[in-house]
Amino acid sequence: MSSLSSKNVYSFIGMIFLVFLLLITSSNVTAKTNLSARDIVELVDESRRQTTDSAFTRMSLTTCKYGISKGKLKCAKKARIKVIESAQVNTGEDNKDVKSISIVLEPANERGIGMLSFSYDDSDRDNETWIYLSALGKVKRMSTSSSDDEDTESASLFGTEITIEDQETGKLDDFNYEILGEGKFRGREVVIIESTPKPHRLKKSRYGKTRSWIDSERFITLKVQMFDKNKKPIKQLDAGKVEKINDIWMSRSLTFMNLVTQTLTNMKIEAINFNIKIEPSFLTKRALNDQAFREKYLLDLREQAK
Amino acid sequence: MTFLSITIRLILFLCLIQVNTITVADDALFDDDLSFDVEGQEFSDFSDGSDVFEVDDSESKAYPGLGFKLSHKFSVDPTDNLKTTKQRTELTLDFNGILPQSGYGEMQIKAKRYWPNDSEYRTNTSDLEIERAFTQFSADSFSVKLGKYTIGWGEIEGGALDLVNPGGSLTDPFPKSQWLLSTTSYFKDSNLSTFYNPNPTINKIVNVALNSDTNSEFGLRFSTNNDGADSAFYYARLVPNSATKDIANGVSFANPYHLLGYSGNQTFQGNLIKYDIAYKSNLEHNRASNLVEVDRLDWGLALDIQQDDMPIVFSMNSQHLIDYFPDLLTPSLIQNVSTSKNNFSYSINVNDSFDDEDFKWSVAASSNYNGDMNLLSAGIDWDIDDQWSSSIRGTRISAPSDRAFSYLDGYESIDVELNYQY
Repeated sequence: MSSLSSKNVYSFIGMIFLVFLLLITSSNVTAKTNLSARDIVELVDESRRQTTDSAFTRMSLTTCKYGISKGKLKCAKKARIKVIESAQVNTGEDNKDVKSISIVLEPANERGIGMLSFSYDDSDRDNETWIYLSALGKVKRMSTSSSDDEDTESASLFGTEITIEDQETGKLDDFNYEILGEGKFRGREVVIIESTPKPHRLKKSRYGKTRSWIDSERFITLKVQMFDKNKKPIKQLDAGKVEKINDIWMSRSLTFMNLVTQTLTNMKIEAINFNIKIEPSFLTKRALNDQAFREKYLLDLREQAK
Repeated sequence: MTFLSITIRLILFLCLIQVNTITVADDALFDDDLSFDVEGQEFSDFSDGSDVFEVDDSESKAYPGLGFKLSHKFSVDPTDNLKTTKQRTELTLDFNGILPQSGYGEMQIKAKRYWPNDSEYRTNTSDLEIERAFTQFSADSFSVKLGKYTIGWGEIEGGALDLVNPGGSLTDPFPKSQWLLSTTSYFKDSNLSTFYNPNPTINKIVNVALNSDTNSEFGLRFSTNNDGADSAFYYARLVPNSATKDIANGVSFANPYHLLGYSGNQTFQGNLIKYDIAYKSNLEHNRASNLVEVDRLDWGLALDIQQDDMPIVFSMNSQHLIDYFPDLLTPSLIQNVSTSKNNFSYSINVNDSFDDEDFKWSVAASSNYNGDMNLLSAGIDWDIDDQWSSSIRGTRISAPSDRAFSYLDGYESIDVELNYQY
């Protein structure tokens, strides 16, 4: 053994190198489930789609300046509250496009405003949004800020801290994923995954990267940290009130904190039902300006929501 | 040490490195940077039902179908020592609800009280009006709506096709509702709607008699939805929203005319292009010695841009007289002026919120009828809370002294409004 041929030496070095390579690449799989970062993100996305497919939701959006007082997170000023009812279905190839209609119930000065949205998984396709303004008696198509200009921010949802980008599902090919670690967080076993947008996505996104704390058993997100393009943390999402509905784990409370302006929006799901039958004809412009048609459908959906 | 043993040690060392990089991540990543609303609760007590933020459960409205708004409006003229021109209080009540047989109903009643320093006070101390009242019934692919409401046609507000309801004024920009019957038939990617107005509202000219029979209006619109675009075709027999003064006889008329139109919109890179085009026949127009009927082609083009959350709207409208006579005249309050074959109007509207998003600003500028009237308006809106809001707005108009709107030259107004809504 003390004297090996050159060929054998190179073979051994090559084998060591190969083993090393295998070990590096397998560092992006979890130790416990053997799932890659991409696998986990796909499972989370799939789980999230199930809660939005054929779903009817009544939610309240509470926005306020926040502070931490005596170790507690609370509103520093009087909160602004919007109550919204929303119905949505997944459509298109692989069920990755989303059609949704949202009606504002409160506050009084926005009551009755309806918004119809079509979101497409294809990055090259513009999302579409229409709004009904009763004072003008018409349905208007809205422009959306899906510009390629990297200085353009994603539009906010009803003027809250939640942006359309925060609500997006799919488009998983737009990111690179890496597992940062596994451990215990808030009583649950989690995997921490860092998502970095690819160059074409980076142009359109507000975020330079995001870190997600994902429950490795239930595949729901418990916390997300969003960073700007200078890698500074600018936003955080915390999920609470986790429960199982229709055999699917989901969070009934999502708190989006803008770390720069110290403003938060809490999305609280007051009632929800999914995998229910929603007629495709309901998710059309007719539901915006034909109030009789809309109320007939909503009455039925409200009775089914938990 | 043999080569084999070295190799095995090296492999084991490499394995150790990789194992440590998976399991020994930065411990700080697992720290919880937020506490809980229940004092004394430990992180280990965090359960499925816990949350980092608790909000008071919002109480549902006792009467969800009832709305109430109280507004106080106040205006001054900066060119006349801030003399008060408007001071009025408005109470608006809204009702809505489901009716039997797949129906729906809405009603809005507005009561106004004019205060002594309001310009309306001399003729009116108070007013009560039904702003909106309709019922709507829907079947599978058909719906009918009857009552007093607004129908918006075309893509551009106040544009070439937006003629079913009379437009608003400087002080109240929203169109006026009218008593209408409308129907809509729904198809897969299109719909056909019709309307009938037995007694259209006409803005009369002060101290000039209206010498027209009561004429009804009707119209139909066929709309289609395409990928990233909407379009519609229009036909209507309409009555002018404003009477036309017959210069020769000193009376006014509002006789029907016909409209054939098309509108559409198209998204591109998140922005929106909108356009309207309308061919109008039998419009009444003054010549030097008589009233004639002319045909006219109106069109409008608008661009909606969304810059972050800030909408910017540019629009351009044009009226092209197909039947043109050099002695065509446009009467106005002070003088009769010549009419151009082509009339262009431009406008830009921008609005956004300040860093404190409870405050929003808006700016609008327009130039109408080839510069016969130029308007600049700027305002700030304050959302005090979910019930209270207020606004302050300044408006200035300039107009050439020899054109139709010369009486508005130098008009300035500062308008303040305070609202409570429930």
